[in-house]
Amino acid sequence: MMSCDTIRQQISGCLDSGRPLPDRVRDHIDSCRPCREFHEACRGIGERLAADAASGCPAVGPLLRDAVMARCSQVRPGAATARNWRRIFIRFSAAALATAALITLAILIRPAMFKQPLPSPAPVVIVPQPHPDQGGTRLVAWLVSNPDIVPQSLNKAGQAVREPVKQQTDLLMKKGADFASTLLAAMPIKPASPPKPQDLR
Amino acid sequence: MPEPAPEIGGSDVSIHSDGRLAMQAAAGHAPAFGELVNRHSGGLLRFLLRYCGNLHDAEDLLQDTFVRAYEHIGSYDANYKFTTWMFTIAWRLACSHHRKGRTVRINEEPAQPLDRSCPLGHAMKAEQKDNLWNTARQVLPENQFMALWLKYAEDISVQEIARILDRRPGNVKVLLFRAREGLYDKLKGDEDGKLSAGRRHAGAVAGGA
Repeated sequence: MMSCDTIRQQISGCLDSGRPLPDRVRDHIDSCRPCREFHEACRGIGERLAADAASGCPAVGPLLRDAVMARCSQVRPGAATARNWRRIFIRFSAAALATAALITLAILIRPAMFKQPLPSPAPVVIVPQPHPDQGGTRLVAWLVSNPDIVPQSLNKAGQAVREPVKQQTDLLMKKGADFASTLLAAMPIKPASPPKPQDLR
Repeated sequence: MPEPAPEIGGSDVSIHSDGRLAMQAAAGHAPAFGELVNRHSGGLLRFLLRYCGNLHDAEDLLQDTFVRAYEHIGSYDANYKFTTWMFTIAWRLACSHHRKGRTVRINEEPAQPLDRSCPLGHAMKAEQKDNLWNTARQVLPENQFMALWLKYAEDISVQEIARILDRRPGNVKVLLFRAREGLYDKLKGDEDGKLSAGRRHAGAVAGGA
C-alpha cells in the first residue's frame, strides 16, 4: 500500500510527462478523497497558470526594443568571450604564481620539513676487556648485569648485524675458558684434570 | 547536421531559425540580433514582470538580459534551444537582482504605486489580484516559481528546465511537485478560510434574526 505522499508525487510526475495515471494510482485516488482533490486541483492549477501567464502583461513596445538595440550597439558581439578567456588566463597565472611563492617560502623557512630524519647514532658502549686473572667471568658478569646491550658485528656482506646477547656471551665464555686453560698449562703444578668450559659457567 | 555558414546581410532575417540568427549576430550582423530580440522579448518580459512584480525593473532586466546575451553570443551552442539559453541568462540576472534586494515583492506596495487614473495601471492593479502567478510568487521559493513558469507559461520540457536551472531532471520534478503542493495548500487554505468566514457570517445573521 503506497502512502498518499508517494501517490501525489506520481500524480505530479504524470502531469509533467503527460503520461496517463497508472492503474494503482487511479485505484488509490478512487478510494482516497484528499488525493482525488489534489489530482483535480493540480490539473486546474496547470490550466489556470497557462491561461494567466499571458494576461495583464503589456507587449514589448518599439521604444523598449530600440533601447535594447541601442545598448547592444555599444558592445561588440562576443566581446565577453575573449574577456572571459583573458580573465581565466590571469586567474590561472595568479594562482600558479601564488603556489610557487608558497612552496619557495616553505622551503626557505622550514627546511627541516623537507629533509629525511637522520638515524640516531648507535650508543658507544665500553665493554670491559677480559682480565688475565679472571678470564671471561668478569665480562660475563658485566654482560649479565647489562641485558640491554646488543653488540653488533659485520656479516659476510659487510652489513651490521645485531646478535643476541646470549650468543656473544657464549663466545666470550669459551674464550675465557681457553685463556684459563692456557694459564693452567703454564703453571708449574698441574691440577689432576684441566677444567672444562662448562665447569666455568 | 551543422548549419551552413551564415550569410551576413541576408535579405530577410525573419525566415531564419534562431540558431542561424545567433550565428549571424555573432559575426556582427545587428539585424539578426534585432530579429532575436523581436522573437524573444515578449516571453522574457512576461517572466521578468511576474518575477519582479513591477514593470520598471522588468524592463531594465530585459535590457540587461539582451545586452548580456549579445556580449556572450559567441558562446551560444546551437545544439540547444535559444529560448533555453535566454531564460538561463534572464533567470541568473533576476536572481542576482533579487539578492541585491531591488525586487519589490508582489505582496508589498511598490515604491511608486501604479497610477489609478491611468487605464493600464488600473487594469494591471486589478489583474494582479486574481492572477495565480502572483499567488505563486508570494508562496513559492524562487526556484519552484521558475520551474513552474517554464513548465506552464513557456511549455518547456523537464530536461530543458533542468538545463536552465542547472539541476538534474529528477530535481526539477521534485521542484514542480513541491510547487504544486504549495499552491494547492495555499488555495485550499484560502477556500477553507472563506468557507469558515461564510459560516461565521451566516451564524451571525441567524443569531441577529
